[in-house]
Amino acid sequence: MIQRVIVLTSGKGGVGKTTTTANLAVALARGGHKVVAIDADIGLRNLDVVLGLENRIVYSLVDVIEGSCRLKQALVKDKRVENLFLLPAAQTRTKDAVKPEQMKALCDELREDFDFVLVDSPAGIEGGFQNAASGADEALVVSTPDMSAVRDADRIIGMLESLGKSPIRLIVNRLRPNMVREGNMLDVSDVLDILAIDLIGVVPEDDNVVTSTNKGEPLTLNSTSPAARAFDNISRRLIGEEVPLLDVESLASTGFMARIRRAFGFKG
Amino acid sequence: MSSEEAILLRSNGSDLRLIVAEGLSRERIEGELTRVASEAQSLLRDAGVILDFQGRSIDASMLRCVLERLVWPSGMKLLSWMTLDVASQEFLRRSGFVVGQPKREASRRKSSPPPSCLLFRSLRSGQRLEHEGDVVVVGHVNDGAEVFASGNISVWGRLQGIVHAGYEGDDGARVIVAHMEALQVRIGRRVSYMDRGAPWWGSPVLIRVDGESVLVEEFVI
Ligand SMILES: Nc1ncnc2c1ncn2[C@@H]1O[C@H](COP(=O)(O)OP(=O)(O)OP(=O)(O)O)[C@@H](O)[C@H]1O
Ligand SMILES: [Mg+2]
Repeated sequence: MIQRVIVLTSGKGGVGKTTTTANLAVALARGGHKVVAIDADIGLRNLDVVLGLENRIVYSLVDVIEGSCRLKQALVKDKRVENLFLLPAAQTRTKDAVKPEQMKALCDELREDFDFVLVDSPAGIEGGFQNAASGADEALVVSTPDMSAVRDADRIIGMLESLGKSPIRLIVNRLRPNMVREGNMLDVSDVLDILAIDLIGVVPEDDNVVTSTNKGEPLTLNSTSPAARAFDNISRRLIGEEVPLLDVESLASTGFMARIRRAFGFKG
Repeated sequence: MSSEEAILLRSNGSDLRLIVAEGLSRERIEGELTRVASEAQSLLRDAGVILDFQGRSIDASMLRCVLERLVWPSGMKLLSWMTLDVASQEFLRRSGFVVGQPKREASRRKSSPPPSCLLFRSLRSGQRLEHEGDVVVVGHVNDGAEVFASGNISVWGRLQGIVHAGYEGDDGARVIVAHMEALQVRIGRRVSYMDRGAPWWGSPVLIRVDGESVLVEEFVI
């Protein structure tokens, strides 16, 4: 077994950590891996909603750490996909309810039973990020392609490096090729130029993400929308498969890309 | 990584510099510190030692770990802590430790020029390098990173962060940058604001104080 603990984080808030965690967790589980997603954004419980498991929560991460319940009791099993579990956040606690040593012990305990432990963390400029990251070996940094998000991501990458996390890889989320084209956004190479870490995937802006969040059904459950395919590819790269980056051309058949192509002035 | 390069001991004039490799996991550090404390005890006893953690952050538990496993058992004389992480620098200063290159005594200062600092890496947002002497960064200085030098500063990559050359008040210090994209540069007691639209933006530049003003010139070799 591979048994990897991966923290998903970002510099700025609201760039898509939770969305990414949910979609990767589902994609990996569908790929036959045993996965647990931990909602370590304590006090802002929403991974459960994105995964559509909010009604089934009994205990939380903090209950486990305080010894109010056993770890197995707190894990929520997903009924739609084999091998997918959620360890929910406590809604009422502050972000320092969990100490780094406790988080590390918890991740190590989960590592025994799971191939992948994905930790959805608070944004790095908030307190609580270091606690959430303390049990992880690897990190996935999510950033949108705008200057302020990239600058904050740079800071978090420095912190992750200084905590000895490796590898630290980048996901560029909500890319809008037409915006790049118009010079309103950085393109992926600009982002990589500044952050100088390995890119594991690019996820396009996709309206399906919003509807899927509202329904509590991550796209990787069944969709073939552009974002679903991007998340799926990232999950395959995570397990070491070589999957070429989704570029603008390879998405040409979808409605989304047809729109982009028109914006670019391509035919057909 | 082999255990030989995990922790490096280097002589630093009359002192020793102990460098803890940045990629080392927390567990490895604990083991390595204990190993170094026992294996290099004759070398470390009573020696002045600078602990260099490179870009690593140092929190309360790391601090305790280093004191308990290395500093106290080895009998060394801890001179200072070095880390590029600003939050850690502040934490260590608040705890009463010397941070950065220890200040040289006035007598030694006059006789020999200060050593220069050659940094083979980029500095990210939230990282700061302070040095008494010249600094050469063979890498980028990103937006939100800072370099302070009592002497000259040269940046071989892109400069987007803040540099302060001659921070002890030397208006004669210079800044040389391969790819200039910083909105502000400080030399001696002067602060100069840069213009994104300037013809040299993104180019190699030499920056120096000329009379009352800060002069930026495109730099050609
Ligand atoms: N690729 C995408 N296309 C369109 N919308 C997206 C995409 N990724 C995320 N979103 C939307 O952006 C919003 C923020 O996403 P999400 O909650 O995952 O961010 P977060 O980084 O976890 O935020 P926080 O820092 O608050 O925890 C959500 O409404 C989500 O639906
Ligand atoms: Mg979130």
